[in-house]
Amino acid sequence: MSQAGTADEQLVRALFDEHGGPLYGYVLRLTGDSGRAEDVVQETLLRAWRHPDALTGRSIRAWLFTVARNLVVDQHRARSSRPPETGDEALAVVPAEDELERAVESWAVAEALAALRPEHREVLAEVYYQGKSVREAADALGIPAGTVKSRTYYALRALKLALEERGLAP
Amino acid sequence: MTTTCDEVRMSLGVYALGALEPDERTLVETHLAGCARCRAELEELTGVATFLGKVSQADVAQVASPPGAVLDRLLSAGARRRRTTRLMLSLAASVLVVGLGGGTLWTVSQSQQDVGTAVSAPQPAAGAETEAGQGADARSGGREQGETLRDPGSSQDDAQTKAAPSSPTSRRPLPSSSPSSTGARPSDPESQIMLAPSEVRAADRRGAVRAVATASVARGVTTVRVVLTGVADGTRCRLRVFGDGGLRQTAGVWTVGGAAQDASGAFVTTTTIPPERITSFEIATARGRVLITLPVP
Repeated sequence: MSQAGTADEQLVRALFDEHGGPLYGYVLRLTGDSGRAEDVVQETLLRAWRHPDALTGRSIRAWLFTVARNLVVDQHRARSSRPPETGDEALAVVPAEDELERAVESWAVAEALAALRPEHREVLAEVYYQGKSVREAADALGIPAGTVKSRTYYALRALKLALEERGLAP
Repeated sequence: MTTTCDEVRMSLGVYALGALEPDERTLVETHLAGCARCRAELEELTGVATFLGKVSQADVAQVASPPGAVLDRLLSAGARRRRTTRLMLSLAASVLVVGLGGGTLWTVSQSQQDVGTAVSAPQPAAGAETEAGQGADARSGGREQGETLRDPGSSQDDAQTKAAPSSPTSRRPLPSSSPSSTGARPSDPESQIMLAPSEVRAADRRGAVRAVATASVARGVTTVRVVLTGVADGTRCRLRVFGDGGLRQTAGVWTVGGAAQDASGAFVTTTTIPPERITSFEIATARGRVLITLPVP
């Protein structure tokens, strides 16, 4: 039945679109290796897809992060069962349980920022992340200083909304 | 010169981020000292700004562009598993009618005389045993025969089962909650079972609620087609699929008579439990009342 393939693909795409980015970012930070991060993301989404039951009644994101983190831990253990020093070191990058919540939140923040309009992201990048003054940012972006100000203002307002949408109230 | 709220307002964003030039900063601060509304506005913006420190630009870039290769691999992994295997299960209600695709890859034989009914597919699985009805406890052996049909994801099913807090087996419908589940056992005198090479039928005395389920597999995903009768339109139903080894999935939720049903009145959904591992279907209301259980012999 071709419908099955379509429905199936839709589910995978939906999972990937909604959670792939934050999940990948999170796992990449844990593994420090893009190839391994991709594998873990793939495996995690596959499990979510196969077990919709596991996702009901709780935060899908937290579930995905938990599964991904456990996969990373397992990989570390498997890899480092020989030399314990390496193992301890590797495990040190894996967060404790209580850090999971913070990780979920951080990646939701990143997601909220990623959801902003490009010009809003751009002005925050200059003014906040690059630490430029209004004048410097205006020069860098080739826009008037007044526009840097208003854009920054509207960028923060938009970010507030995007955060609230994700349950993060500033 | 005095500055108006509007002028100040536009500067509050860069002010909150510490990017305002010193001379303008003084102007803003002078205004803020005498304007509670602008102070409140600044407080909000400062609150938002604190979130910026939680992430790096690289984080944002990664979130914005997750590796498409992963999606491609997920999709193509499914494609590789797509098989032509087709299983037809006709299951009628409160009872079961299990028709194992006559003339297809499947044949049915009664190999375990007393309770079990073995289902075998000539290829690729030599003999994927499924558990008939609810009497699964006594017949856990022989499952490995179905291994060859198990797709690459099946081992993950097992791994995942460990992670799931609830025991799937315990979630099987209890006899008390489903009149049909007692009638499901082939050995149960309440049910009549007719065995033919291609079809198994059973009927219980009630039969008010009837269902026919058809399962087919493609690309590692099992499509289940359910036609449910004897249930009032508007009833919200949930289809669950149980498989051997404690597999359990909610395959879908739909409203009887609603838009989710296709033109023929069937509800079509998917599960990742391979057909040969399915042990039963259960249709319950959204509140959990079991309407019908369809065991696969």
